[in-house]
Amino acid sequence: MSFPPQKSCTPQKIDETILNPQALIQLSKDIRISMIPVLIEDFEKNAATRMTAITTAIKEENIKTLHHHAHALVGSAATLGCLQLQSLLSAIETACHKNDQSKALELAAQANTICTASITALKDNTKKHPIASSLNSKPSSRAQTSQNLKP
Amino acid sequence: MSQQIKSQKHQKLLLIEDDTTIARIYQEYLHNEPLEITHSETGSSALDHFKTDQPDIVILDLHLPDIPGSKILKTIHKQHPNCPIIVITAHGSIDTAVKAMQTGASDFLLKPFTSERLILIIRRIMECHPSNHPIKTPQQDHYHHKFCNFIGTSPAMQTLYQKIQRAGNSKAAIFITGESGTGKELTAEAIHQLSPRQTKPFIALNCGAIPDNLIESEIFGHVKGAFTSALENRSGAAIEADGGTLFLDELCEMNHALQVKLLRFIQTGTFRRVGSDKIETVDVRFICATNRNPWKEVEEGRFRADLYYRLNVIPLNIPPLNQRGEDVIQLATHYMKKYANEEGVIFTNFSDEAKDALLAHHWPGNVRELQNIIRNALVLNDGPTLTRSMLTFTAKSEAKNQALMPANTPQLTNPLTPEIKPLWRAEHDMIRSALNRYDGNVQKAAEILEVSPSTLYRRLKELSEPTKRT
Repeated sequence: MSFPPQKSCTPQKIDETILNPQALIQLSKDIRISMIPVLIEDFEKNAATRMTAITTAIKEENIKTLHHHAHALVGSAATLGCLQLQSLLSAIETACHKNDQSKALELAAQANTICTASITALKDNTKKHPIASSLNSKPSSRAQTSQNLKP
Repeated sequence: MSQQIKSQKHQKLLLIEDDTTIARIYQEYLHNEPLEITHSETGSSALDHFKTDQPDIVILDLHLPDIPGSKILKTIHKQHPNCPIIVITAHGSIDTAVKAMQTGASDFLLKPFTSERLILIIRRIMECHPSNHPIKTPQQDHYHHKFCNFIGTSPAMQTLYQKIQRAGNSKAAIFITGESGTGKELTAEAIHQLSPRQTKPFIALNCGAIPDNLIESEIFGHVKGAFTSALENRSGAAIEADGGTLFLDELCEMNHALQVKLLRFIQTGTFRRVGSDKIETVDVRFICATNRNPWKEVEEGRFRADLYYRLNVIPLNIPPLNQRGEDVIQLATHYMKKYANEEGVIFTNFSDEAKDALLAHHWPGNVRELQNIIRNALVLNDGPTLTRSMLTFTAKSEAKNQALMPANTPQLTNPLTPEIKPLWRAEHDMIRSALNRYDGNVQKAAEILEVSPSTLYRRLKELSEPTKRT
């Protein structure tokens, strides 16, 4: 499954309601910076699988499956700073936990769009700032600092 | 030879986490740790893993697709009670975490958490868990790579580790001696960590850093009105350390009058707060330290002999860095990685010449001096290889090295007259000395040099470039 580009998330400016760049800055302090694009790619694959499962769960009105996949994605969304997606998935979890099926399904219907926007924003952020280039260029003698990730 | 703490190279960690992105992040967090990490995406595959290869530690996300994490926890804990399990739960599910602890988890992490937090918990568990401290005979004792928070495997440190291990189980007072920067407080912490008091407080007090008129209050506390600035009752280190360990560093700096009170406290476990008549009782284990020769202090009348004998039940002497051989390289490598991470720079290795210089240096400032030199090199140079020219040994340590040279070694400068240097060099050295003193903290170095941090940066940059020197 691939995500179509979103008009609402242009590469010109990162929408901080969608993506919190501070989360990536924190991540760049915790891990090798060259791993961040790898993680984003991994997240994209994982999210695609989860979104397919969520779409199926919506069709089947299967709250248990919906809850499971929302929970499974919320941790990585939070770690990568996908604020809007994290917030939505948490709300889905809460609705499922309360057995509020209509609310859970209503929220889940937005998941694919918000997930697409989040991944576009993540990719734009890495293109815009030098973390992505660190993969393609020879290793620099000086590490890419967290400053590089500032919007 | 057997090892008392297993070589951390062989510590096996099983990560049970269904989110592959998160699992990859955790593995990244731990990539510098001496762990072999296996990842299981499901509970059933994790339980299968135990049948073939039992891990030393488990990280378990409680939310799994096939089997509830709580059930996995119970199963593992029942079948492998000595295997530490760290559970991970989503933010806000503290009740779940508490239940997990009651079920047998060693610790828990609430998402999201930083790499520091994860590493801290894993290191603490691996160092303190009983499975890592099997009873061995002294001849079998050998510590590889790390012991508590120490780094080094030299024979001198192996001997120290054995003593620390044995001292940890005793209640006897310990007197630690060693030069500045050898790790006296680290030793005291290790003894506390390995003692039955490990869950109680470890309170450290530097007697040399506190003015004479305040030290009594710092140790014993005071009551309101005991002296002009005693605006309210205050408990001292003795009460704070109740049930645990009280570490008094630089004890030989303590005045005679207070030495008498301390002796009474050590003998009876009782004391009075400053300004109070009420006798208070605590259960404290004493560890004291000094960088002086305590017996010489006794002979010269500065330290009470009765206090010396009372404290010197288990004497521990920390070897200076110049007696630790290859430990210097292990320590230098450790600090290179640590500071490179902190400073956001890439340094991966030392050149052979740099290693030779590190091994040849006398290290009068011991590990603290090594830390400063490594940080200095990282802050002011580009990696990835740390070369000999990047190592700036301080004038004091160079002088000591020169003093140790054979008599026929030509002296470049007259030791009785200060060396005349170019002004730019003197300024450069002064800035580096200030940075060294404050572990590379530019703000503090700038304060002591009475310039702004930006001026300090600018001058350092200018002085490093020949064309810009003024």
